[in-house]
Amino acid sequence: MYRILMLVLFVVGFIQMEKLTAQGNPELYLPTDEQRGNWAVKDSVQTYADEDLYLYIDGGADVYLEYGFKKVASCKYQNPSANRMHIEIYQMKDPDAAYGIFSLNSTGLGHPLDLGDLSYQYDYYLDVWKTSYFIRCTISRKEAGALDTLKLFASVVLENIIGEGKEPLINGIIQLENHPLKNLKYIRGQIALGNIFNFGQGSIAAFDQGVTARSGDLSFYVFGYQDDHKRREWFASAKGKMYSSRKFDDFVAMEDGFTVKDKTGKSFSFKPYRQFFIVIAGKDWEEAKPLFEEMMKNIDQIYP
Amino acid sequence: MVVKKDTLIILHILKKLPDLSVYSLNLTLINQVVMSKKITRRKFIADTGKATAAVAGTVALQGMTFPSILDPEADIAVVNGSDYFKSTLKAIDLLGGMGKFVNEGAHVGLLINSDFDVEGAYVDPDISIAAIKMLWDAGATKITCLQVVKEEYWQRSNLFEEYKDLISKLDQVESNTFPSEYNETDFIKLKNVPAWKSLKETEVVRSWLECDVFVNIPVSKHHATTQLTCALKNIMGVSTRQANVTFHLGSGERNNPDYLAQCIVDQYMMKKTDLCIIDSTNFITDNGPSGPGTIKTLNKVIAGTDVVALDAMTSEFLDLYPEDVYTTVKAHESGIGDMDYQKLKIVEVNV
Repeated sequence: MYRILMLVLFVVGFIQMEKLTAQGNPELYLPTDEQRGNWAVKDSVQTYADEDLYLYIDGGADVYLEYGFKKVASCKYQNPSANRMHIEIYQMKDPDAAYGIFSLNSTGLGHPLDLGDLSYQYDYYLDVWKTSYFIRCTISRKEAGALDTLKLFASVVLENIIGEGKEPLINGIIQLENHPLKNLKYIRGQIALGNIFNFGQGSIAAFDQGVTARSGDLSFYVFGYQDDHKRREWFASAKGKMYSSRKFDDFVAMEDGFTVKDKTGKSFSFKPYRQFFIVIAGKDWEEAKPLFEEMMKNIDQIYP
Repeated sequence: MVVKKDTLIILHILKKLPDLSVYSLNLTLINQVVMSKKITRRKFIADTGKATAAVAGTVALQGMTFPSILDPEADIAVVNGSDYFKSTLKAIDLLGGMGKFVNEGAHVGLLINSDFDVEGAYVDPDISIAAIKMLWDAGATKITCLQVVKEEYWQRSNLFEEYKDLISKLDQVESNTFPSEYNETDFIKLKNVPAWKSLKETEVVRSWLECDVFVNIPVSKHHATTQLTCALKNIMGVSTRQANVTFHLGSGERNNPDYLAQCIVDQYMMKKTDLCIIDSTNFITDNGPSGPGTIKTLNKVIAGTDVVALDAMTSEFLDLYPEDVYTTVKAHESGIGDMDYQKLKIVEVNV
């Protein structure tokens, strides 16, 4: 009995050791020959680290690097009926970066899956976030059972990734009562922001992290800075740029903040609070006030 | 042999100097191009001959363009309709017909933004097929796709079967497929051109510089770093991946949008665009350049020759002001074209 117990412990320990060794080498998470069934490797496994990502992604590498990219492993497979599958495992610098790229890639039309820390299934691909990894599995032809195969392959990859990720703290700031959110995206710079909304080149700059989401006709943006001093500097800069922007009109300075309107007459209200500044689009200053207050309370709770 | 080939390119640039004069290109620039390939100025003069130098000298004095009001055709043609093949034919017709741009026997360099998989991120192939049909019809004897256009791209069109013979006649720069690497046969290095403001060196497809007629076919879509990718940004399609990476990283600060835009403009000024056909039918307005993103449908095919004006016009389709787009502003400042597109004669029709 003792021997059996020792053997089990040894096997479990060995498996865990293997997984630990694999951490940092996303190519080792790809399904093995035994796990792939009749899916053969079509091209050899490719890996790209750091700025070599430009050699892998044709347009769009910038945003991965902005979030904090370390390495990608990519492999294409083909089954006997010539259907092709592509698995990409992006290792990011930290779980927030991986969550960020996952959220940025989310179209809002995905079907949630029970895979990893968060996952969505789309028409012909699925995206998964787990700890510091963003995984995309794509099928080239939507034949029967293809999506189940994608899920199976994703599960195999996920089994090798140890740990659990938590959504970035800043996300909590825009969790409001009576305002269910959609298209929530965690951002880490101008390039990601430019994918969501264009305030004008350099208008809102140098933030360390941010979060944005929509709720009905409203849009929320929270930009976080290293400290209150940095926030003051960049809030003043944003104020100046919004004042002189051709994109926005009707600049009105408030006691603590300002409002502008875009060409369609939609209001954008800007308010600083501690190391953050908040933008609410779709409500004028007075209407936005209670939402600002709710977000400020959230800030105090999350960042005491 | 390499020297001779380069000399031919220089001669070709000299032939084009009346057009290039607006880009502030001059003999100094040509010297730089020559020097970058380690050809001495003396050898260059000997190779090209006094007559050529005289032409260049004369050209340097010209530096003028003629007002478009003398031209009965449109400067910019905008055609609305859901049959993109017909729209493209009509757009070129409004500009005066393909014969205005392509002479009998011409070698055409064609740059199509085709290498993406998601709808709204690549040029609708019906537009490209219409373009090549007109180019062959106008008498082009050689059409080179400056960046590889894959078979599957053409097959996305319902017109593929009907026009596959025309497609199969296309020449391709086979090595210019992502991520392309430099080789002396297909690429040429350009270094330290005086007119450049940011770019130090680039590696571009030889056929781009050699061709008689350069036709640029982009899609007007979102780009995360430059806001818009259309005619100007598309020129990164003629350079190697390594060169393009320096556009992104060469400033010492990763993804400096100002530096990236200036590098694009610097490279663009090496060759005049003879014709630009823009796909503004369906395009992504976010998550660009590769998508998937929000698709905007305008069903517009736009054609013209002033790429700066065209970029300025199409930026508004993405709710941008032309001055928000660094490539447009910098190309305007460099004299490549005029971002005040409303000064031009714009003809818009429905088909």
